[in-house]
Amino acid sequence: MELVTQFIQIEVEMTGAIAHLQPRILHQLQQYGQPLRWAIVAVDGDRQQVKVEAVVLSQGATTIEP
Amino acid sequence: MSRTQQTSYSQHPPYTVMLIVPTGVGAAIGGYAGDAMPVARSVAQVADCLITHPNVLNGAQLYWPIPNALYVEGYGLDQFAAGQWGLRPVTQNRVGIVFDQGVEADLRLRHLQVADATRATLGLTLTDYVVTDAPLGVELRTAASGATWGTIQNPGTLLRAVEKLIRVGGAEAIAIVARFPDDMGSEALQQYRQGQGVDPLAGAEAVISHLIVKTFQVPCAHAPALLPLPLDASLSPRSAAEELGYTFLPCVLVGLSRAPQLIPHPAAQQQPGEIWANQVDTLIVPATACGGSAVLSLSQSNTQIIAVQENQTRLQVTPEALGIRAIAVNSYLEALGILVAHRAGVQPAALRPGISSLKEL
Repeated sequence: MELVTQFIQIEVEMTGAIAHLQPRILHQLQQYGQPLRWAIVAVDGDRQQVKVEAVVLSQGATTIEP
Repeated sequence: MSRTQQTSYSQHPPYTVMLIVPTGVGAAIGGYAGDAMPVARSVAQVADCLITHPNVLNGAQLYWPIPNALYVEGYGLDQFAAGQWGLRPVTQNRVGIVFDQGVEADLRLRHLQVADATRATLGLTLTDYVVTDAPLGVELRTAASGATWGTIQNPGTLLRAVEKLIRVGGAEAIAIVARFPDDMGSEALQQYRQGQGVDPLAGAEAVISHLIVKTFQVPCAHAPALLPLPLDASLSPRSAAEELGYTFLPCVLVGLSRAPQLIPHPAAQQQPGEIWANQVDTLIVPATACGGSAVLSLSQSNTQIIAVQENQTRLQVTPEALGIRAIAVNSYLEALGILVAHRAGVQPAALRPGISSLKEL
């Protein structure tokens, strides 16, 4: 199956120590593929969530909510 | 380096600064045509070692040789900041070029002439080049955040080409030339040319180079292949460097020629001459773009973080919002002052008129 790159957006909980945030983001991104590039693009302090935009590498096509 | 500086060097570790200006977020300084290079040049005067990435040092036809600057692609920078990879400075790399099959013959020839010029006029070492076996199929998008991203329809063809360039060509650093969509009438491009908008190509460029660095752990940078734009009398000075010639390639070849090699494993024992994240004294980043991997990693270390307010971006991801401790400054001029004081071992508060007394804990 051919490799594909896909753009995805996810929301990640930011409760707890900041040290846990990056591993939590990577763990969620890895459900879609290998993270190639990602960044936190918004922070919702009230909901204690961050919005992450990313491009991941995966095998074949996966439907991802834009 | 002066005798006094040499003596200081032998007594203290090199003062190391990482400078990040994320690409594709509309940074007011550094979001255009290598326009953060003056910042890099200034920081390099204060630091013994500057670690920064292609977006900062690439000015298309324009570049500046900064002897104590390390040109590290963004994915490599993230792995370095996480302590997963180290950097090994080099005197030169053999640079190989991969051309997207989608680059038309005349445009490829323009790039090859740039390559030959860097060999004859600058003395760079280049390998023979490779053309991908299929078009890469670069697609651009602007996300809800305002940041630009991009995807490649055919990453496999790029990986096969780079593998050949390394295995057969002996390349130690990779320059990618991918055909990007020409969109001369787009509002995004017009805004970018005015020094106002977000670089519409940047996100896709980063994905391309990240793919190569992640897969092959070699220095890599990208130059988009585009048709020349029509003359525009209102072109912004910040965007002008990208409209001086036919390609974006010269700065990429120069940068890669001395980019540090990547040590793709955590150091059980650091070797002399290698550079690791625990040696980074200061990180400088735009105040509203602190949500990248490198910032998050270094926020957990002893590295001091300086957040520059004046370098506005399309994002609002501040150190405060993330619970990251950082020194807020208004400008890069102020950041440079913080660096000087830090390097001198001087508390910045001592340089201001008011200083409060100590209190009991």
